[in-house]
Amino acid sequence: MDPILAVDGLQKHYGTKVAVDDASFTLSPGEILGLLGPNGAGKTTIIRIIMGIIEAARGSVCLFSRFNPINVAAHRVGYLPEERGLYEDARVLEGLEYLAALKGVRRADARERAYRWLDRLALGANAHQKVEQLSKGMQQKVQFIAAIIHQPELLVLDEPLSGLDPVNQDLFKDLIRELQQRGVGILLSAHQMNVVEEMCDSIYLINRGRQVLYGDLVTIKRDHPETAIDFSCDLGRSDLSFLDRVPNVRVVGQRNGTVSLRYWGAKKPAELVSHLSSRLELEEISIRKPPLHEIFIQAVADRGEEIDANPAG
Amino acid sequence: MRIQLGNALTVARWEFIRTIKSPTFIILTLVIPLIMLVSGGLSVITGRAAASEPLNLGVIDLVGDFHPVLEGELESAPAGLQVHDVASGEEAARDSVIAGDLDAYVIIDESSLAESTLTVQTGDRMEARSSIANMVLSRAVTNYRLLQMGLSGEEVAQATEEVRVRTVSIDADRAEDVWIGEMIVPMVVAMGLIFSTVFSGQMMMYGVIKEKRNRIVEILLSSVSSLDLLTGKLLGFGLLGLMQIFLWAGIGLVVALRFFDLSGILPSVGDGLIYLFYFVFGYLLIASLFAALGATMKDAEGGGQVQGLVILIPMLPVFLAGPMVASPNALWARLLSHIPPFIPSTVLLRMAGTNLPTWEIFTTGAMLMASVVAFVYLSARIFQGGILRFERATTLAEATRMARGNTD
Repeated sequence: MDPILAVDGLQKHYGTKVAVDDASFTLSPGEILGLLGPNGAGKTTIIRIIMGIIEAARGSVCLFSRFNPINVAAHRVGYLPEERGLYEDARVLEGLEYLAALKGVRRADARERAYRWLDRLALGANAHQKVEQLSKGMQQKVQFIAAIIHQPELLVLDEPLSGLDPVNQDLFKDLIRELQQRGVGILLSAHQMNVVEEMCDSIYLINRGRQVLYGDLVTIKRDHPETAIDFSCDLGRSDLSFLDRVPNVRVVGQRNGTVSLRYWGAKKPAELVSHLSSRLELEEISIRKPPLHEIFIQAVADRGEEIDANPAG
Repeated sequence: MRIQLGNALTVARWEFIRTIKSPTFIILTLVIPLIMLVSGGLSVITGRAAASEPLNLGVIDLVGDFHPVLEGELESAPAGLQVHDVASGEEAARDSVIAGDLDAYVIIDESSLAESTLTVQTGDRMEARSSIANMVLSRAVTNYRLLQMGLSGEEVAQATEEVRVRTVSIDADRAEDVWIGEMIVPMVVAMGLIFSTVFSGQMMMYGVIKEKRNRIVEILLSSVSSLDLLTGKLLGFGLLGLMQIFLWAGIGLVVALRFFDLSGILPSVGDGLIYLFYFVFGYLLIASLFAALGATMKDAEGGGQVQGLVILIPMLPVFLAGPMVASPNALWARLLSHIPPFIPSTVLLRMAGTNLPTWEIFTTGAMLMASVVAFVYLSARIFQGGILRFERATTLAEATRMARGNTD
């Protein structure tokens, strides 16, 4: 399947600061690609370049297999920026109609779709209220509707869950998955790795504007050399000092009766588990790949870099 | 950058409908002419009321034979002055002024006639009616002196007969007397256009600042280019400005026709079209400048001194309106007519004082149109570069770099 978004060799500087350096990735229909990195890593800059809001110093953005400027393909792209905004003194319906019109939706269609989405998100009764009269959570729902009212094929979401309460976070996650099932390609930027891990098919991980990891999530995790083993036992009666002598094992944490190990040996983790069970009275044990956050930190460290907020990002 | 007209028209429609319903615009459009009408009406009413009451002037004639000359002069003077011979002296005259029986008094003696200085003592501040008294007194003193020199009354009348000076245009089509109204009407039109241009431009600028402050602008720029957005705003607010001008002109015309005879002094259709051209393009020029300015500002209050100065630029020729109308073809006025930010205001003001030669309408018009294209493009660049700087205002150096196309 042809990608709907292909980013190739993007570069952007702000003065002497490098905001984005050689960013390249693709996004296919029905795929959720997580654009990940710490605050200030360059995620928003990449998104603004894709959306045609700022220009890259180098590189290209190809939308729907064409190098069209964004205002030509805008009606096929939805965008929820990190810096949220609506016309506060306009009525909800008016604002949605205008933003839909800018995406080429006819007034009658825009109105019908706006009502449908407002009803779906329990805002039907607020359609004729001014935006400033809505709560922050309600305003975020309206902003989400504005991003999808024109039925885009590509949806760019910059920190879509920030500022939402847990109930609305779940609601937004469900909506995003629903759009994915309809074939919408979604570029989801976030700094909470657990959210991305939960929702994305693939990730593009950056630090200080440079690619750290890129690929589908399953492969990235599978290729990571370490395995996370967590076990619980009666720590008061157990001697864990033998672990220091087990090769390719390190203890990374010990909390509430649970010990966390990382193992990177050539042998299968099951062999380590049987060794553990022979030395300890295990109550619970789990074997999994380390969380994405840890993989990211490890990858950055392997490159000899530090993780910090890049103000140019 | 290429304009997508459909996008620009969608933006224009939104700005027009939103602004026309806003209290600020309604107040500005309707209340300002109302205030002008009320204040104008009040001044007419109070002026007429004041004019209907004559000025009672007491004359203390210490030379003895001045009063008859003054009485004689009064016969040919406009109404509004009554002269009372106060024989009882200055003290009594002062008491009469304090009591309100007299409005003022004057002492005519040898020294004041010799020094050509008469002092009119009033109980109140000087008012419009005193100009009649001054004129009558001045003429009476001249007549008195001529009579003292031995001229007969008939000779004095001949010597002091008023000379009427006519000013006639050499333009064959306008070979009638030039009247002050011919200057005032275009000047009022010019001022109206300039103010409407600046008001519309400023309204647009504050709209841009608001969009920047509430962050909606990032969503807009993901749908339309900065040039489309800027063009749409220029069209929307331009239409509002035109509507405002026609409304003000309509109200002004109806009221003016009620009180004055305007036949022959209203601008011709040709002049009207020229005014319209300079208004439309002048508006585009100034409003694009204001829009770019709005994009560089963090908030409406945060504009630095540079921003404040830019707002004043299109108004500068207004401060030179007097000398400009008096000498509309002076070299400096012609030069100013070809410098982009000043073109519309300068040309409109000069048109109040002269018929611009056709070549100058073409050169200033061409310069104006070329400047509009350049300004809109440069403003779109600054707009694009500055509009996403949410946290701080853009410096002049940064704006210059943006105008050159460097957004880093």
